[in-house]
Amino acid sequence: MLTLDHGEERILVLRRHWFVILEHSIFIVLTLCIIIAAAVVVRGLSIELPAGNSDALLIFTIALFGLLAWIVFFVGWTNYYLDIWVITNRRILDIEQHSFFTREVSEFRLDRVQDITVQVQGLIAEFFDFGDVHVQTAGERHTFIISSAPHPYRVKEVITQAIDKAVERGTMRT
Amino acid sequence: MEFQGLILDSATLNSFFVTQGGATLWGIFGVVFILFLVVSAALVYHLERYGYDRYRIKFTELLFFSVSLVLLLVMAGAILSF
Repeated sequence: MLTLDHGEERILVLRRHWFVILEHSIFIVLTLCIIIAAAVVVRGLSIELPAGNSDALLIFTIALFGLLAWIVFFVGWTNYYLDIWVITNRRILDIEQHSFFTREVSEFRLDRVQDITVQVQGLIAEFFDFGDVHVQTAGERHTFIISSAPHPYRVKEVITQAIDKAVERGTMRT
Repeated sequence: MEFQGLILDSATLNSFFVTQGGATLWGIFGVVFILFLVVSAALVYHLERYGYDRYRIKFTELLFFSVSLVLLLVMAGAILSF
């Protein structure tokens, strides 16, 4: 769980755009459809099994691949769900869930931000309004990227406003 | 001629299905069930430890286990009626 410092307020919690998980799902659903279609075609060939129930075997095969697809989808969804950016009135936290048991947490103070760039690439990204937000910092790791962020221009605005407000309040060291 | 032993004739196939068909399916079921348990444990661990929204986490877990349980029961039922 995320712990904020005393007086720190959460401004925005950001996940990648839903199109990312849709893309992941489409691939799984297509694979599953091909497997089911292949099983149905094989059954249509009326190959008689020497023993056993061929319908039961077909149902078993479909349920087996269905379960595997379901597991793959949820692993992808968990990585998507746990991969977040948290923008507070003092800092930006970048929590990247690369895979199970591979997690990277980085943070940088708002006063380290030097430049914010938005990159929207392609027709789909333009249509669904998502893109990469590049945040350049003065730290050791110079650029942080919020990949496939929904409403990237609004995200840029939110970060800029957070920096401005922090400057007004004098909570930044600059 | 040396490949003759590898060719499955109908009698061998018949014998395999009669004696080993159900056992093979149970074997596959067992492997998938173990895989399911391992992935489920990792999934629940990550969601409980790093999740942010209690309600959504519980809903996700419930959905995952409900659908998985149905598919596992369908698989077991299919083996029993094989």
